[in-house]
Amino acid sequence: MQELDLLMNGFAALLHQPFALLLSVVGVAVGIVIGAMPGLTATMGVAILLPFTFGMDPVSGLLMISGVFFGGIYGGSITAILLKIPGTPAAAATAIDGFELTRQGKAGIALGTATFSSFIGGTLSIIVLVFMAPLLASVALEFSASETFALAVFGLSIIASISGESLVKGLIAGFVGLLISTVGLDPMGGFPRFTGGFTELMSVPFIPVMIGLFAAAEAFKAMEESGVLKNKAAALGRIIPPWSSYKRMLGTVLRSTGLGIFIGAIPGAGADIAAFVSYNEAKRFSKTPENFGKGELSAVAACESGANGCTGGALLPMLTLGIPGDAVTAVMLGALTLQGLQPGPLLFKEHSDLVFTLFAGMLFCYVVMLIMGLGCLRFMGKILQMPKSILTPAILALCVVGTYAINNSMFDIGIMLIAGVIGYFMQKWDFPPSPIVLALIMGPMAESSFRRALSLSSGSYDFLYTRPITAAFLLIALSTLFYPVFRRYQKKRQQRGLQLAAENGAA
Amino acid sequence: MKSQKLIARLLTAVCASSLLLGASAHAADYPTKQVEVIVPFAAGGGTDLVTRAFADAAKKYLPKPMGVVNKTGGGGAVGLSEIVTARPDGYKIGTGTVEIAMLPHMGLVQFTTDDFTPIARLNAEPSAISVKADAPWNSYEEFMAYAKANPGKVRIGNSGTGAIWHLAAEALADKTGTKFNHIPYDGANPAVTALLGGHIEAVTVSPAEVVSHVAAGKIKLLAVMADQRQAGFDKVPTLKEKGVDLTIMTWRGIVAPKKTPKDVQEALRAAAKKTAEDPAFKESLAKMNLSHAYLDGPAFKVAMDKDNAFFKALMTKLGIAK
Amino acid sequence: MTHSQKSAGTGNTDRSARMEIIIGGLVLLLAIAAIVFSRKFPSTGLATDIGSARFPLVYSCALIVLCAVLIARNLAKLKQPKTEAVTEPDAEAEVPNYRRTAIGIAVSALSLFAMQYLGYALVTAGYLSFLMWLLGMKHKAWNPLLAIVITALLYFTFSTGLNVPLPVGSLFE
Repeated sequence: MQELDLLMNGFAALLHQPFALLLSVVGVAVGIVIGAMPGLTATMGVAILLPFTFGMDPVSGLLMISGVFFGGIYGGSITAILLKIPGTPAAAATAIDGFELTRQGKAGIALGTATFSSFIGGTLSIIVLVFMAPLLASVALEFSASETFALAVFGLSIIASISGESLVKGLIAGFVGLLISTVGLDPMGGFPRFTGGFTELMSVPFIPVMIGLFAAAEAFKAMEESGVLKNKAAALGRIIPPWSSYKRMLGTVLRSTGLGIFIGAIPGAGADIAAFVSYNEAKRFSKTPENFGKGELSAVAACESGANGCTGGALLPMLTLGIPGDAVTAVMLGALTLQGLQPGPLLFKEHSDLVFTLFAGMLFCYVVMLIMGLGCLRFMGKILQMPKSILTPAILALCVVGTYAINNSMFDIGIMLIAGVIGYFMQKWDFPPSPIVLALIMGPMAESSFRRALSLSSGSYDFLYTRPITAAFLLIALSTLFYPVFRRYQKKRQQRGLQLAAENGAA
Repeated sequence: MKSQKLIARLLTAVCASSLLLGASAHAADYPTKQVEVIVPFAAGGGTDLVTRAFADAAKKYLPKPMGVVNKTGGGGAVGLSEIVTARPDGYKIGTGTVEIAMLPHMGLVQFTTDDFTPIARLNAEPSAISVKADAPWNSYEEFMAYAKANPGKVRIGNSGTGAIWHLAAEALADKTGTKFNHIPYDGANPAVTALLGGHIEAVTVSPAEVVSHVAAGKIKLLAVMADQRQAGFDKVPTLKEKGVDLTIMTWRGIVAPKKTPKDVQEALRAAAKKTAEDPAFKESLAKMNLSHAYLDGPAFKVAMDKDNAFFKALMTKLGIAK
Repeated sequence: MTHSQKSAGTGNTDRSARMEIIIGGLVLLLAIAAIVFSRKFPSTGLATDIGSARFPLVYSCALIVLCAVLIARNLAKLKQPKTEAVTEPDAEAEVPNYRRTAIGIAVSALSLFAMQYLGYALVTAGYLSFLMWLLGMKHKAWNPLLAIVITALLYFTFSTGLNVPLPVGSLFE
């Protein structure tokens, strides 16, 4: 266990750098705030802090950035659970069940579960990064366009499991989302589609749509009720989940962490995809899949451990091969080169002491995140006790400012408000909003990688079944899509059987 | 409408001057507040890093700090349009990239190259033909011989259709009469990843974008599309040495809206010159393996116009131009 | 979701069925419009590409099928013999006040428009205190004060803390 020795040395080296420790604490704090704000994502947070690292030594600078990365992924869950504002795209999956739990007065335990699951997912992913990096790094290179396409299709099939009551309505929402995802520059030809001449529409304004559909729509709905009354869901309840109940979720958490690491390591796939996939698999393996969407605690645990498992997974190909695993690590790659460090196999050879000090620091970051998260939850929970007449306007203002911050664009705020109004009506008529968000994440990926794969194989469709990973993902996608239909059919048959039995019995 | 705006501006001017207690708004004092620099690409990318390093080093030479703002989308179209339409008072400038000389021909944007006032070019990177280290071709000649023998078989990854590295590969095909299969990726990085995985045969991105993989022995450079050999890659020949007269560079520099007052331009040019020659800035570029290619405003303008004419001709020939 | 439980009890399934037919029709129109527009997309010029209109076409066709299913289902529902055709008044304690939501949305749109000219600070403070008033908090001193506090808090978090410049307004630039 050479790595273990190196890691221990890393911890020892870290102890001699109080400044680096302090900066990682600062990084985590900033990350949690940025993650919790709608619009500001972990990617932006890392980019914002990047210039501050110019003058720092590598360990301090990189640990601060890692702190922002980890905190940012976790922070999104807080507002998603409390207010149905997904601070980050990954938290859109958390919001589905997390906010239902808040409605039921179980906000505290939802937040606590999210915090513990984020911690476990993140820490395990860093440990995997330390000990199995070279082994898993090759996965990243195996993924060509056809594999990415199949992964995107699998992601899209998850619409079936987040559709709520009506599969048809969920699919309509999903396909509308897919249609919206084709707005903007064509991925192969580079000319604008459905933009109506607006330069701003050349890239799909994904995050404004998400903030609108979730947060603004919820705020508009809250206006229907008089606001002077105290919030119905004021109760926070206990925060730290009892071991007896958390124990039951451990399997889910471990599975989701594994999925998160794997998805994180794939270039171009990040925490958002990991969270939705973890949700889907948690539902698939659950004994009570019908509870999903109605406030299932293990759904929150799955999303959060999956999303944070992604952090170590995404760092893995970035450090070992110099290939970023997602958008955040792409920015971190820039930070590394600015420090004069070239990520890749040579990094481990030439700077192994530094790399392992970083790993030790990352584990420290996660411990800080756990402590800080648990410490601030009581305080954050106070938000629920605010009268709605103050909370609702404040949420709307936060949505407006957060949306503006993404690209300093008024246009995006307009998109957000329109999405909010549409989301409000969707809610009225039971169309779930999360399929649209999922479609916006996966749609561009599906289209561009399919067309790229076709070009790579010179126009032959063989890649759909000749490549094992591609074929496997497509099969899983089919099973995910048709499982609910199959279940419904089975249920009907069972019921009919019972009815017949009853009739026969009566006769 | 116009008179309303005028009144509003007059009012603002009066308010501002009274607030500043007579401190006149002459450019001699420029800048009196933070200068916003628009970056048309995402945070953390090459253009962003160059700008941030520049803004960081410029602190010494400007009385007020520069604020970097990313305005992404449309392959640079959104941010560059924002710079063009900004109020020409020197408080909203931007980082101009080679896309200034390309986007107008595609009919995607309202501006032309002449809508920018070049202040200073900071960096330029040529295109480099790179293949996997274990590829059977060890020289440019071997590679091209294979490509000519197998038309359409060699897949070259680029950073997007109509983007600079795509045009580089197209120009190479055009000059040498070869047929490649061009595969657009979502930026240079994913294209390099695909090359590492062996999913494509070559990329035409800049040396800086593959340098770490070259150092790790995973990728080799066959030729660069530059006038001279590149620092750090002195063993890699230029296309000119191989008898192909082709130079394709991406560049990044500070630009301002067209109607920016002359004295403000002068102030910016002076500050940019000092910043560009600052050792701290040079060191940052070197760390990122980016080449320092400073050009003063007028010389930058000449280079820009030259590229503009070149890309117009090339894109018209390829049928990308509108 | 929560609404379905509500509507089930009040016997307005007819109304919701009709509404779903209308929504299905609208999405159907959207899909057809997308197909019409996508026919004009130029070719990408790449030999092995399926063209940029293909994916929107596939999505639109899927939407047309799904909308047809939705409409057919609801038509069937409407044809079913009605058990309780009379729509009784909503017996729930709090009647949703749709007018307030409509005003809230309108004011949001108005504020967005005003922000281009008046800037972030002024508009947000006004917007917040009006919304509070709309939601039943009608204090003369507390409303603007709280609005200013929230505005300032957001300003410091974003502008000072995170280096995100907020709109100044074209009148003050």
